[in-house]
Amino acid sequence: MAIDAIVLLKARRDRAADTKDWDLYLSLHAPDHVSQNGDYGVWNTAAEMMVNVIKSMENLTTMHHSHTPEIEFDTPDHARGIWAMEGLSFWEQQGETHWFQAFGHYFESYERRNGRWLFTRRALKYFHTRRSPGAIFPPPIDNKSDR
Amino acid sequence: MTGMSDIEYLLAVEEIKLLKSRRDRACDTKDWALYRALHADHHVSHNDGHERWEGADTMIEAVKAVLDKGRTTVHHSHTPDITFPSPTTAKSIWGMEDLIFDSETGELLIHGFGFYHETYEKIDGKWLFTSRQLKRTLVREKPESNKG
Repeated sequence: MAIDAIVLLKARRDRAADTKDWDLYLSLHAPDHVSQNGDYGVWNTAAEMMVNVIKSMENLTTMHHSHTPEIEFDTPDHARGIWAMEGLSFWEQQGETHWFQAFGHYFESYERRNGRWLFTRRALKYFHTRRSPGAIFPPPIDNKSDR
Repeated sequence: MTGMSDIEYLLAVEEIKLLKSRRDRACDTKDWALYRALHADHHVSHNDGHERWEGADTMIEAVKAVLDKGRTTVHHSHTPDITFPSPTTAKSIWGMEDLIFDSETGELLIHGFGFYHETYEKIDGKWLFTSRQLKRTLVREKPESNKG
């Protein structure tokens, strides 16, 4: 069933993010995928997303957990999903380990192209975040001076 | 399974999982109209730490009184164990974790774990909640406040 294929797609995305398997990550997204991420703004293609995801997560150890999907179909080849999420990131900042924890929902769209389901859109909306005292999140991209 | 084909069973499981997903989201985003719409009128809640709430209207007022103002909540549910006494009635047990924060100070007030025991009924073609009992295995109150 298509629902299972989309659940599998999502599972692979979360795993690819946390293991930094960027070839797998890219392969799950349509070239025209659009990301609207609470931390970083809008990315209009999968290629633009990859440049930014790789940079932004370079110095982070992350956990992405997704729960209780609400998947609905507009057509047999177009679907939308809402997932509850928890995200946890750790990084080094001036010699100390800091963390950022977020709770929210992913709002996503999917399309089946050439028989494969792919992400076409992702928006992440947090309803609660917290961080270690003094943490700067997201850590500035390209800033490796603290390592 | 009683009198259901494999396809009917799978469709009903998916619909009940969707119902549960909506309930958790409605609770955490405080969408009380959606929350109420997921429950049958005769729904009964009986959660550890709270009185028994008879009727969905009583429940929604009680839930709002506990959570609407000053509380930020996270409810995450896992690994449903869904069974069907009949084609139009179901029950399930879900593993759950919740966090309740003071919205003003950000303080973590409760970090809880347990299992939801729920029943559902298919009424006019739609699956709805008819009962919920949260059985706690662990409640950590203000787990981050004993510093120093």
